[in-house]
Amino acid sequence: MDIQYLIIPEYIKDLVISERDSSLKNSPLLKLNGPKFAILGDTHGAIHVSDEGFRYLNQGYTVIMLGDLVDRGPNSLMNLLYALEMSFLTGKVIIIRGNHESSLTNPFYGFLDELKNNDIEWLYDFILSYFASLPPAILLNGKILCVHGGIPSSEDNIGNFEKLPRDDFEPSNKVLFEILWNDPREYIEGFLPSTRGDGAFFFGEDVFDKFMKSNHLDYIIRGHEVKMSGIAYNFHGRMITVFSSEYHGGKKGILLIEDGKFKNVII
Amino acid sequence: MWKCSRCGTENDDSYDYCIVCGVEKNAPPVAQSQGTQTQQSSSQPPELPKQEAQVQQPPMPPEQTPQPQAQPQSQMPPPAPTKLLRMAVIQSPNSELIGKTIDFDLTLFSIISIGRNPENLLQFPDQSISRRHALIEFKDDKLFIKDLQSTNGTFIFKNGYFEKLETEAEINPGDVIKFGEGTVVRIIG
Repeated sequence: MDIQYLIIPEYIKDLVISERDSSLKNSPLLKLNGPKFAILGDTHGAIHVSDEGFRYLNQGYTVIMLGDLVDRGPNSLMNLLYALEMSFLTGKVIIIRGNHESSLTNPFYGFLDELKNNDIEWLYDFILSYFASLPPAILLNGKILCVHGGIPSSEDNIGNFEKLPRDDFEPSNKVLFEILWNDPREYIEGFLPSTRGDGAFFFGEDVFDKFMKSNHLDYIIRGHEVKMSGIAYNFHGRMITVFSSEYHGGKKGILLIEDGKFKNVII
Repeated sequence: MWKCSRCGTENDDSYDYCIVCGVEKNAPPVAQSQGTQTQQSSSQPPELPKQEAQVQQPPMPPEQTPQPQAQPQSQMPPPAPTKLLRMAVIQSPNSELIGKTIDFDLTLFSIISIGRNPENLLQFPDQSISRRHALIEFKDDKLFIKDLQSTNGTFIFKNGYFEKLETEAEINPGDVIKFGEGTVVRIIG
């Protein structure tokens, strides 16, 4: 269902630039501390699921969106604008960069067409610069790492994530690309070329263990993959995938963290 | 959810065909003779193949248990031990298959046909897989894989790359095989 709303291009431009500049003040490895987090996976235009997530703001949660707000579904632009507004108004909505916050995907999966259909294609460069400014990783309470895809094959020290570029629209940086594109897999060791395309990898529990140990992490929370159940646990429960979209026809998940405990909310 | 009448897999109501064996949703039950089974492991750690649990105990030799009233079947030769081929699905366009394992009883099926069509023993829901794509054959106690001139090829992961299979190759536990562009399995036992 397409939602009707008023588009004021100059307002969108100002909002995007303001959020980009605000994002650039922080490190690409954003460190947050707090007792309550509500985590949304890929929404891909599922504005109703985003809305469900934002309801937790009233209960003192910080909302983290794991990227992929646009493409694949209708209402991508409104979903993005809603998140931007909530981020602007509350300062408690944090958006991670996904592989669909990218010039590699938007021309092929619907978001750029949506901009064209609304005669605001000229805004795309501003939006891309905002996408590129988004943090690729968030560290919660020093122990939980949130990313969109997974761990990279060529960097196992998250301290070095702080040097990742903030103006890479594709991205072409190898480490950044893999954080956005990689997937965990049971039954494999090391890194295996992914069927998603050149430069993306599946990674096994052995390299995951090494990464977790060297960075003193307890959990990684990510999106990126369709999970019909909304939320799925791998690698003995330490790798959690949250998927919050509607286009796949499955369930939508929101993961709540409260005082170190997880709660699955399935819609 | 609906339960497949052939393989017993629990399928989501939105699927009209079983995601594992391709049987239609309301198909009448058929005899359980496929010798295959799948296991879900998305939230559980993978387990090593428990082959010993599958091996049937041969009957005690008659000379050790003299029984004047021995039934005729005790004279039968002991059944051959079951050999299992266990594959894990690493990647599939159907997200529900990822992380599942598939077992084949090689004493029942020495040739396993792989393809997109339902007549295959192992049917993958992947448009990049040919209707008749490849065969896995168990002969002389070894496993071989053969590509049936598939459109998008069969590949074995070696030295950091998926090498295209030209004709036939021996495969072993640990090998990772890609069918077409979107389906990857690993031989785990």
